[in-house]
Amino acid sequence: MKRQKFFYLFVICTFIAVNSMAQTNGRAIYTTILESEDFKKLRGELIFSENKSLFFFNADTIADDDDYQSVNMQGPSTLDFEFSFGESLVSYHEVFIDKRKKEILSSERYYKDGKEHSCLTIEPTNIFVWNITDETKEIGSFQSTKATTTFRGRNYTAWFTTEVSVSSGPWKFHGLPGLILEIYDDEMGVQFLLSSIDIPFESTRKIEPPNSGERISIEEYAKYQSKLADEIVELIKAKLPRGANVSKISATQTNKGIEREF
Amino acid sequence: MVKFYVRICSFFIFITCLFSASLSYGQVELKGSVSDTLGNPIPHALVLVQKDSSNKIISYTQSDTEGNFTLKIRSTGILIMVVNAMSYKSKEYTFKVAKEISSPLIQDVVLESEPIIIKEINVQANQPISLRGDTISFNAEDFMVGDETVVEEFLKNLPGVEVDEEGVIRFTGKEIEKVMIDDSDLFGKGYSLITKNLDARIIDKVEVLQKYSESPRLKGLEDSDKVALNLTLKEDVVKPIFGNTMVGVNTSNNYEARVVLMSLNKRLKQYSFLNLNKLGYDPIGNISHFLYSDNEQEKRGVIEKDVKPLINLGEETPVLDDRRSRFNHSGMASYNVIYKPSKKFELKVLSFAMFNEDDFEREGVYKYELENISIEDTEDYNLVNNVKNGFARIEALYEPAINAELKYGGYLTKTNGNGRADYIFNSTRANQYITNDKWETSHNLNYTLRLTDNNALLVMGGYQYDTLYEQFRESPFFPTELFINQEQVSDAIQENQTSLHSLDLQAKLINRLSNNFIIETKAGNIFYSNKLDTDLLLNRNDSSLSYRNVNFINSKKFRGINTFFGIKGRREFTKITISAATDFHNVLYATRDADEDVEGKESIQLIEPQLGLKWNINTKNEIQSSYFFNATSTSIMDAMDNYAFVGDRTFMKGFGRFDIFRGHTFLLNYTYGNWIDRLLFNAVALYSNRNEHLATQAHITPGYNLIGKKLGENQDLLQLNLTTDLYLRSVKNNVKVQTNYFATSSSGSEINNKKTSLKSVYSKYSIELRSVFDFLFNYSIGSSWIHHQQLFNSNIRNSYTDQIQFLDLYFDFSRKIKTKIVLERYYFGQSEDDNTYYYLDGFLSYHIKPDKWQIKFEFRNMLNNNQFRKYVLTDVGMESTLHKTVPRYFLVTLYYRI
Repeated sequence: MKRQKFFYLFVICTFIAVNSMAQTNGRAIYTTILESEDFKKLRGELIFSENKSLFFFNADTIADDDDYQSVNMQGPSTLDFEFSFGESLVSYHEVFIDKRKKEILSSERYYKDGKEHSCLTIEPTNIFVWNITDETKEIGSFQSTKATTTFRGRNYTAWFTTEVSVSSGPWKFHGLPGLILEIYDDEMGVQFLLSSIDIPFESTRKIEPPNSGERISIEEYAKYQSKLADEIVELIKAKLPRGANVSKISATQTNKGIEREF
Repeated sequence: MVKFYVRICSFFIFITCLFSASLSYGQVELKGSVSDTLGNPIPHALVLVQKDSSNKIISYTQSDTEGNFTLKIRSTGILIMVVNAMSYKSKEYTFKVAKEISSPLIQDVVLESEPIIIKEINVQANQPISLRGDTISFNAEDFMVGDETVVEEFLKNLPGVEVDEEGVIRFTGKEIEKVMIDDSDLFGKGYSLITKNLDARIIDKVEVLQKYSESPRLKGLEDSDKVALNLTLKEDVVKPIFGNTMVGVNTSNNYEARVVLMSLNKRLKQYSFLNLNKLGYDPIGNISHFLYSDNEQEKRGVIEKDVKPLINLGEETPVLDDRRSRFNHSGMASYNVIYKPSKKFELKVLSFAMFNEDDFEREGVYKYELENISIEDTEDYNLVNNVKNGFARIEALYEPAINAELKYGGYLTKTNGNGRADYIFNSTRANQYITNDKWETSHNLNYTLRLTDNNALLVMGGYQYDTLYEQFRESPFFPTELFINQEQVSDAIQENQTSLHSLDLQAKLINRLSNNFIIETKAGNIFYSNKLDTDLLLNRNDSSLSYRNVNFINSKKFRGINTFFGIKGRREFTKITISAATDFHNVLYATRDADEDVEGKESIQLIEPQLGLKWNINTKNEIQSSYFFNATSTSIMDAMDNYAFVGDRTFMKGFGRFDIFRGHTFLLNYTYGNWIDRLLFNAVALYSNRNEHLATQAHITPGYNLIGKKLGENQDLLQLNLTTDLYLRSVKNNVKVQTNYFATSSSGSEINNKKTSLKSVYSKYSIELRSVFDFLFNYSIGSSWIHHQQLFNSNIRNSYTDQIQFLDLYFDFSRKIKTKIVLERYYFGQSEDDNTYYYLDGFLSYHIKPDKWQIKFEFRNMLNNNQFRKYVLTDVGMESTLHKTVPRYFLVTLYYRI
C-alpha cells in the first residue's frame, strides 16, 4: 500500500516534470501590415508553447518606420468613404489557440443597436486547409517552405520552417508542420512578416485566453458583421441633406478586415 | 456502462478502419507514438513525411496528448519521416513504400531532449507594400432620387457631400480638388462644367479619393489632405460616342435645352457641352475656377494680384434660390479634349463660349439715418445685364522619366459686359450704361523632380497679364452740386483702365528626414507692375463741351518686388501631427502718379509664422487647430488719391498709398463621431484680429456720397459654427441642429466727420427633422431663424429676424414614379405689414424606359407669389427692397440618353 502511494506520487512528479518541460515558451515578433489599419507597420507578438499560443498587438510600439517605402508611384490608390468603427484592432484584438481543446478564442468587437460590444469568438482549430508546395526560400537563417491556403475571402501564401518545430503562426494561422515565418494575401491587404524570434522566452504575459466579453460562436459573430452594413445604411440615410430622398441604398461591404466573408 | 461505451466505440472504430482501408487502397498508413527517453509521451510533436528525392513534404501530422500519431501516405518509393518537437533532438527514419503494402507501418519514436535556443533578430522580410482597397463602395443608382438630372444634383444626395450655389463641392466640409471621369482629369477646379451638365444616370460609382496627391512624383512627401472625386461610368454607356440630351418647356414659354456628347478612348477623350436656358440655370458656375489648376494656385506672395472692377451695377441676387428668382437667358457651348499620344506626354484643351442675359427688377426705399441727417430715397430699378465670355485653357504634361515631370498650364479669357439700367430715382427718370472689357492671360511652367525617395525639387515660373477697361455713363447726373458752376451737367462718363503684369519664379525643396518628418524650404521672387487710370467726364446739355475736374482723375502706377524665403516642417506622431512654418518677405515697392518722374522706393520686411496641430484623441474625438500671423496688402484701387464715380451718386477713393496689414488668425475645430455614428457633433471657431485695417471715411449728403478710405485701428472677426446630428433609431428620424454666429467689429471709421465704431452680428439657428422610413412616404421638415444686428458706437441701430420654414413630402410610388411636394415659408422681419410669403412646388418624375427616356413634370410656385420684400442693413442705414420672383409655371421636361 505504501509503495503504491509512492508510486502514484512518482507518476505525478514525472507528469509535472514532463509538463514543465513542455512549457518551453517562444516568442516571435511579426511586422504586421493590415489594410484595415491603413497599412501602418504594426508589431504583432506571438508567444507560444507546443500546445497553445497567444497572438496580440504591441499597441504602443508601432514598428520602426524608417525603412518604410511607399512603393506605389502610380497615382491615387485608395479610394473610399473611410469608416472606422470604434477603436483600432490593435488596441483589443488577441487570438488564443488551445490545441488541446482544439479551439481558437479571439477577442473581437461587434456592432449591434448602434453600440459596440466586446466578445470572445470561439471556433475550431481545423479551419485551415493547407497546400504545401516544394518551393523553398531562406528567411533569416531558416530554410522555409511555401504553403498556400484560402481563408475567409483572402488567398494566402505562407512560408513556414520545420526548424522551429511548433505548429503555430501569427493571428489565427497555424497547422503547418513548423512555425509560420511569413504569411500574406495576394492583395497584400494582410501581411505578417517575421522580424525576430526568441526561444526560450520568459514572457511577462501568460499564454491564456483573453478575458473580454461574452463568448459567442464565430457563426453568431459573422451574423452581426453582416448586419453591420444595414446599420450603416440606416445611419447614412438619416443624415442626408435636405432634398435628398433615397429609396434604396445598398452598401456592398468589400471589407478591409482580415476576414472578409464567413 | 463504461464497458458498454467502450464496446460501442471500438465497434465504430473497427467499422471506420474497415471503411477507410477499403477506400484507401494504395495508401499507406504510418502509425506510432512519440515519447522521451523516460518513456513519457510527447504530445504535439510534428511528424512529417518527405520524399527522399525532393524533400517535398507530402504528409504531416501532430502527435496527440498520448503521443500517438497516424499518418496516411499516398506516395510510394523512398520516404523520410522526420519527427520534431520543441526541446528535443529531431529524428529521421527512412523507409520504402511499395505499391502493394496496405497494412499499417508502425514506427515508435523516442526523442532525446535537447534544449532549444534560437535567437534571431531582425529577420528582414522584403515584401513590397502595395496599397489597395476600397471599404464600402456606393452604387450611384442607390442614391438616385429619381428627379435629379445632372451630376451635381445627384452628388447632393450623397452623404457627406455638399454642393453650394456656385457649384463648389465639399466632402465632409473640405473643398474637393477635382472631379475625374474614369480616372482622367480634364477640368481641374473647373469641374462644375461636368457636374452641372453631365447626366447623372450614366454614373456607375462615385469614388472619394482621400489623401489625394496631385503629382505622383510627390507621393509620400506632400501633406496631402486633399480630396478628389472620381466618377466611373456605366460600362454600357462607353460607346464610341455617347451622351445625353434634354429639353423642357414651360407655360411661360421659357425653356431649357441641353446636349452632352462624349467620346472616350485611351488616347483621346472628348467632351462637348451645350446648354441654352431661360429657367434660371447657370451651366458654368464661377469662371475663376477654370483659370488655374493644381499647384498654380498656391499662394506665392503677399501682394494682391487681382484686377477688380470699380463699378458694379445693382445685380445683387436675393435670398431665394435661382430657379425662383432669376430671370435669365443663358447659353453655353464647350469643347474639351485630352490627348495622350504616349505614356510620357499628355495635352489637355478646355474651351467654352457663353452668353448670359439677366434681368433684375426691384423697387427700393433707402433710409440713411445719421445723427444729424435723415435721408429717404425711393428707387424703381430695372437692369438688363449682358455678359459674353470666351475661354481657352491649355495644359501640357511631359514626363521624361519616372521621377520627373514638366508641366505647362496657360489660359486666355476675354469677358465683355454690357449693362443698361433704367430707373426712377425720387420720381426722376434716369439711365445707367456700363460696358467693360476684360482680358486675362496667364502662363505657368512647373518642373518637378523626385531626387531620391526622400527628396524632391520643384521649380515654378509664371507670367500673368490682366487688363480691364470700364466705361460707365449715368444720365442725368445728380450730384452736380459737387462741381462749381456745373449745374447744367446732363450726364457723366466715368472711364477706368487697369492693368497688371506679374512675373514670378519660385523653387521648393521637400525633404523627408524620417517617415514622419517632412521639411519644405522655398525661395522665390515675384515682380508686379500695376496701373490704374480713372477719368470722369461731365457733359453739358447746352453744348458739346465736356468738363474734367482734377479732383476726379486718377493715374497711379505701382511696381513691386516681393522676395521671399520660407521653411515649413511637419512631424507626425501616433496621434498628433504638428506643423510649423515661417515665411520671410521683403517687399520693395514704389507708387507714383503718372506726372511724377521720381520714383520713391520703399521697402517692408515681414515674417509670417504659422502653427498647426492635429490631434486624434481617439477614433471619435478629433481636434484641429491652427494659428497664423499673416499679411494682406492693399490693392491699387486703395491707392487712389482722387475720387472715381461709381454710380448711384457715390464717389470712391483710396487712401493714397500702398500698405500691408498684419493680422492674427486662430482656428479651432472639434469633431465628435463621424457621419455614420448615431451622434455627430462638430464645432468650429475662428477668430481673427487686425490692429490696422482700411476703414471707411464717408461723407453722406442728400445729393451725393463721398466714400474714402483711411487707416482704422482695430478689426475683429469671430465666427462660431456648431452642428449636431442625432439619429433617433426607434422612430427612424434624424435631428439636425445648427448654430452659426458671425460677428465683426471695427473702429476708426468716420461718417460725416464723426468717429464711428461698427459692429455687426449675424446669427442663424436651425433645426431639421428627417425621416428614414422604408415605405412609400418620407418627410423632411425644418426651420431657421436668421438674426441680424447692427451696432453703431455700441448703440443698437437695427435688429431684425428672418425666418425660413420648409416641409418636403416624398411619395415614391415605385422605382419608376416618384413625387415630391415642397412648401416653403419666408418671413422677412422688421416690417410694418405682414411680410410672410409661401411657395409651393410639386414634382413628378416618370422613367418611361429606365436609363433611356425620362419625363419630368414640375409645377412651380403654385401659389403664384410674384414678389417679396426684403430688408437689408448697410453700414449707414437700411434698405427695403421689393424683388420679383418667377411667377407660377408648369414645366415638362424630357430626357433622353444617347
